[in-house]
Amino acid sequence: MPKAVYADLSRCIACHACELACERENENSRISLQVVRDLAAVPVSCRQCETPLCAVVCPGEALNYGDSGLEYDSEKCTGCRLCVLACPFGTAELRAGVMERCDLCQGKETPACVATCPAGALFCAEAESIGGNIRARRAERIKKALASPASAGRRVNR
Amino acid sequence: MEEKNPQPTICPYCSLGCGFYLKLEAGKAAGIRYMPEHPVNEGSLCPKGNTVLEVLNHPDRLKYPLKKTETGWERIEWEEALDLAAAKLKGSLEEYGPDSLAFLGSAKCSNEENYIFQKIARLLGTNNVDNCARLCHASTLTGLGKTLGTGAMTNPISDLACSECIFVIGSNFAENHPAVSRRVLEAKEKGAFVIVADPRMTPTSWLADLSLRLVPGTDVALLNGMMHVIVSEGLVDREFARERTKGFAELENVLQRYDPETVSRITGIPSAEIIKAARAYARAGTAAIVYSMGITQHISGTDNVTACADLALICGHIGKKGAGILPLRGQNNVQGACDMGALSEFFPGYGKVGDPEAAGRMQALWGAKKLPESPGLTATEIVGAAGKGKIKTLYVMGEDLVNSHPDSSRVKQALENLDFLVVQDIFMNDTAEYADLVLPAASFAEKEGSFTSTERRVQWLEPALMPPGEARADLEILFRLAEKLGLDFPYRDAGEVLEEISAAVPAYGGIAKERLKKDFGLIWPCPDAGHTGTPVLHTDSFMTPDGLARLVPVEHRSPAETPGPDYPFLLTTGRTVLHYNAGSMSRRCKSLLKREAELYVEIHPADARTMEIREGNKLVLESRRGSTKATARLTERVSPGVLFLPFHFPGTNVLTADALDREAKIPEFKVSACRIRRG
Amino acid sequence: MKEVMVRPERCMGCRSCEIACAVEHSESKDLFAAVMEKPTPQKRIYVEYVPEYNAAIPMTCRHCEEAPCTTVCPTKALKQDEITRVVTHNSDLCIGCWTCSMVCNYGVIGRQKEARVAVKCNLCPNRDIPACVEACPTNALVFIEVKKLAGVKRTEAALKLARGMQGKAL
Repeated sequence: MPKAVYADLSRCIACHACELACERENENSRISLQVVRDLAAVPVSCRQCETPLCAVVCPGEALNYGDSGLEYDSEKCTGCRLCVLACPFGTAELRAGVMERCDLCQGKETPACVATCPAGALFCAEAESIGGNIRARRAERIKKALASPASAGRRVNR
Repeated sequence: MEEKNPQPTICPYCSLGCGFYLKLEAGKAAGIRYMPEHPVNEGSLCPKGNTVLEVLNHPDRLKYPLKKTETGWERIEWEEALDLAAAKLKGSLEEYGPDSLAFLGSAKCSNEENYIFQKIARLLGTNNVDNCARLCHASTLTGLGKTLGTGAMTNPISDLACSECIFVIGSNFAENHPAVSRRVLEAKEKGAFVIVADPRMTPTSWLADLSLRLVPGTDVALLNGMMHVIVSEGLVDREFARERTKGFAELENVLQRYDPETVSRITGIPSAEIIKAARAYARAGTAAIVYSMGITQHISGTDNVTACADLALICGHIGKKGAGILPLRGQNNVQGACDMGALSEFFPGYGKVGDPEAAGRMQALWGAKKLPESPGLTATEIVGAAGKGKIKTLYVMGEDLVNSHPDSSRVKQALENLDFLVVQDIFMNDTAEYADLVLPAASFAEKEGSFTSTERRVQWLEPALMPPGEARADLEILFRLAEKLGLDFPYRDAGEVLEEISAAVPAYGGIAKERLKKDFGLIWPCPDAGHTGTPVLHTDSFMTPDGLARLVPVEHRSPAETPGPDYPFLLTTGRTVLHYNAGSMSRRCKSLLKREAELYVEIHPADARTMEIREGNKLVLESRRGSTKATARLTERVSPGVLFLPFHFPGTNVLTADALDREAKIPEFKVSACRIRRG
Repeated sequence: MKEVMVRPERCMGCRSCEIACAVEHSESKDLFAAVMEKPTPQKRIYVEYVPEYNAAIPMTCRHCEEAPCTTVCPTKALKQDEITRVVTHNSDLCIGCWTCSMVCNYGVIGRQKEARVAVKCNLCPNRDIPACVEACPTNALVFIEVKKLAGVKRTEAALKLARGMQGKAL
């Protein structure tokens, strides 16, 4: 199943390193960091949808969803921009007649944005594995909360 | 030059010393590969680090020595340039005496370069040698020096991961030292409690469990308030205070006046939050204090640092893994430049100027007849003295005084007043515009040498590229200048200079080039060749003469300038994630500039409403020193009545005042009074 | 409205809830037939083992009052009922972008392999009591209103207290 770049939003520190790493590797940044009311930040990049709307609307069959995920054939692309319109995340862009989107830095072990993230907020994973990590962390917190609390007024671990 | 591709290197920006690889193609830097095995950044890199290629390959790089003539800059030969520099230095020396010379070293240059730089200054007979540490962490040296015995970070950054409580005060590490965040988050995953005290709401505050928004300049009050709670609730580590410190009784006396209600009135933080923070810090098994320029850049900078040390000491949170005091320094080699004695009052290894024993040691090592005996002028005082005509010739290695010193207009006047100014840099900056001679230097990737990061990690940097044009490594320039000055230096390369450094600086005793090349360097103190370095300081005793730490009581003092009817706003300055210090590197990166193009001022929406200011309006900011233009950015990151300006663009320091801390002589960049109007 | 509430102290990690959930969401609704079915029936409740505490906790959709997954869903495949606040998922609209998975605080949005869409708890609309709750042998899962659960806990606490008092009196 296809992987995608996901973000643990509780860790993102809005440093823009992902954007600049992507810009260096791919000329234009395919990930964009949005700061929301100075209280949180969200990196947005292609979600590698499994029923990609960009491919659904593509009239020239330039975009196809195959076994390895979304495939793009620039030869067949007419530059009609329907994919740009259809993408619900605004992560497909047409530059010089070619559609650009995150391709997970093909040929690299880890996408540049993930490798560079100083806070470890970005990760590249299969959709099925995301839930597991979050569940494990949540379960641990619940158990910790239920465990007998540290007695007040005294130091712990002494 | 050893041929390695990709070539391992160290980031030239902040003080963390992050590692990465440069991919080379046909003698040019063509790409970056991350270094997951590096112990500090574990492969990550901040936005500035990601754009170093743009700095290395920039067309603006200085390529030839330039001399100012009546018609403009004239390209000259190295021989002529160095002859001129040497003649002017000697001329001043003979005519006005050694104290008419001044030297500003660079926290961006290697240990070897700073060592040679200060050696030249001192052999010429002056202690007027300083570096930009004066502007960021001079108060760390004085504050931690008098309490713990040494002004350096006590624990490595990776230790934060095993802290149970992290108290961050006056540091916005998420923006300025982004890789620290991964350690803090690691600790948080294990359940650590994070407290962030900052007048602004920053991305660092996003990581906090408790965020304290204090009035700028009230740090001592907050720290004393926390200590008051700790003492009155019996949370003091009595055993530690009794056996390893001195002066608890005096401290307790002073703390009595700082009950939470009083402190709450001064700092603007609810007393319940002060109590909560104090309890969380004191009760944790291991707790660390992380601070930065929000603490140091005040007229009470030394006191602020001292209060941090007191807090850690009464709770016994020092000298073990996961605890300690972590001042996050600014530049990539600011720790090293200080260790090397590029400071007006210290010889290499922090031997005090004026102490005959320290001077004797240096004299013997250098084979000098006589060394100057009284402390020289600090970076800020050099500018003042130049303004008064006492300094005739100034040699600046890799610094932009105009944009980094307070009160830019006075700095410019002072520079104009000089007889001769030499600037040695990689780019033409605003200071170089005033120079009579500009020498093109090599950037980090084009030279070899050792660099000491904020966690005292000494790493060896190997050259990956050739400098552009006729630019030369700073060390080579200094060697040739020394020769012209008639100083007899026996070294041929950085490795040999490091050998002398090992003899001069006790903490570097066992540090040698070959050892540094392995395993990401060594953490000083490393006194002998068999020693593997000391990541955690003060485990058994402090570096004071008797091995005991001093608890020094400090009192809250108001900043030098407070808002009043004429200047109603409190202006504070700081850094942002996309730019770096005076900006001579980061403002040349197109990709960074695209995202942060010009000087902006953060203003609270409520203030903006009353003054009818909208997002993006051009504002004129005025202080008693001057005025500057900036674009309004409406945000609740600042409190009402407070303005924030980043200092990466020309203009910010036109407004700041040069009020100095008594002991450290650090200017108060963090508080000045100011007014605004629509421009 | 009733919710699946968890009493973690009672869970012994038998995973009966997981099996019951998968069977309930199969074509045949029969354990033995369900094993052979294609696509493989999928569970929507997950028993998480916490090694540090040597304990297990069942995790299932909390049907949050302000559900983040419904806010981020670009196609409105995830929707929250205005009255019951139940979060439902329409697989016809799902494009498999997994933004919901990324923002879910409990990690309880799974993936259906064959259709490449999200799967999550729908509180078994065809049953009075969700299958997982019915299958739980220790009553670690209860289908109850939040208010009432507090009442049950109070009763239990009172019982413990009464037992303690009795011991003292004797």
